[in-house]
Amino acid sequence: MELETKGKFKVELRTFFSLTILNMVIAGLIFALGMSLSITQLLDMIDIGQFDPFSVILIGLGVTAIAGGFYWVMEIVEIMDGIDDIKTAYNELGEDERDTITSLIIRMMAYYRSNKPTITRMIALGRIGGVLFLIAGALGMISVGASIASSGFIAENIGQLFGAIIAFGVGIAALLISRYFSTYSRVWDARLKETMKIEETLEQKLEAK
Amino acid sequence: MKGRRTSFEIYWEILVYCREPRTFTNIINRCDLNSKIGQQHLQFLVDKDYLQVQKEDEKTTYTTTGKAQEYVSLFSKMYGTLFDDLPGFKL
Repeated sequence: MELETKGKFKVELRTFFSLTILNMVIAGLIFALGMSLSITQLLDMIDIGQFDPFSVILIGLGVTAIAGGFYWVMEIVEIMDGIDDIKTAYNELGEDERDTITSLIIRMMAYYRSNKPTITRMIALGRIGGVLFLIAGALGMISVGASIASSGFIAENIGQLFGAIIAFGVGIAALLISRYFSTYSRVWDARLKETMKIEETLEQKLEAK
Repeated sequence: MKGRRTSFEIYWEILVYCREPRTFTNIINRCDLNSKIGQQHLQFLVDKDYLQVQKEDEKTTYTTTGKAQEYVSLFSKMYGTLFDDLPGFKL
């Protein structure tokens, strides 16, 4: 029984940690995309020496992506810190495993109660980031297509097309990760509800003479 | 301990830790409680006969009673079932 719970706990902990790392990668990519977009547009505008409202909008979008990506990374670091503590405690499991496993479950429940708003924000950011990457990828592919249609295929198109496909792929990955987080969140919400029922039973136990 | 625990979770932690005699300071340090909350929880458990108070010289210790074992076992069993359902995927 304890072994089964221990195994399940291990799988879940490892999966959640991996998801958090993947989320961190997406957040880093959003941050990098923002940097690339704003700096490229700014340099282009300086190069041309002319005020271009469209470029200003893109610079604004880039700065928003930088801020969003940075905020996202900070949130994930906080999440990872808590999970890492639980992971370390799990790796140091001693002989008396039943009590230790229960103790870790308590920590995990407490951790989820405290971090539920952050996890909800991560799910939302993942979706927003995913959609942004999908749009960036789609626009990139359309742009390459238009360029090929008007001027024929040139070597530069390969790099642009490659970048657009990567952006599209990252968008799909971000949406998938967000979906996995959402699944986790649903399972944990169900567990929190279950603990309320457990508390009723425990309360009866405590009240019994 | 990072995060919010319920009173029932704290009771379990105190009872498991006090299987051997522990002082008030030991308990609040180990269970990460402030003195006020720690005192309230200990008093509750003493009133329920789940903790036994022993005074020797100037040292007061708390030890879990046999009566508390049912609570500890029930709690562990029920919390173990929380992991019956997994998210359904793994990485």
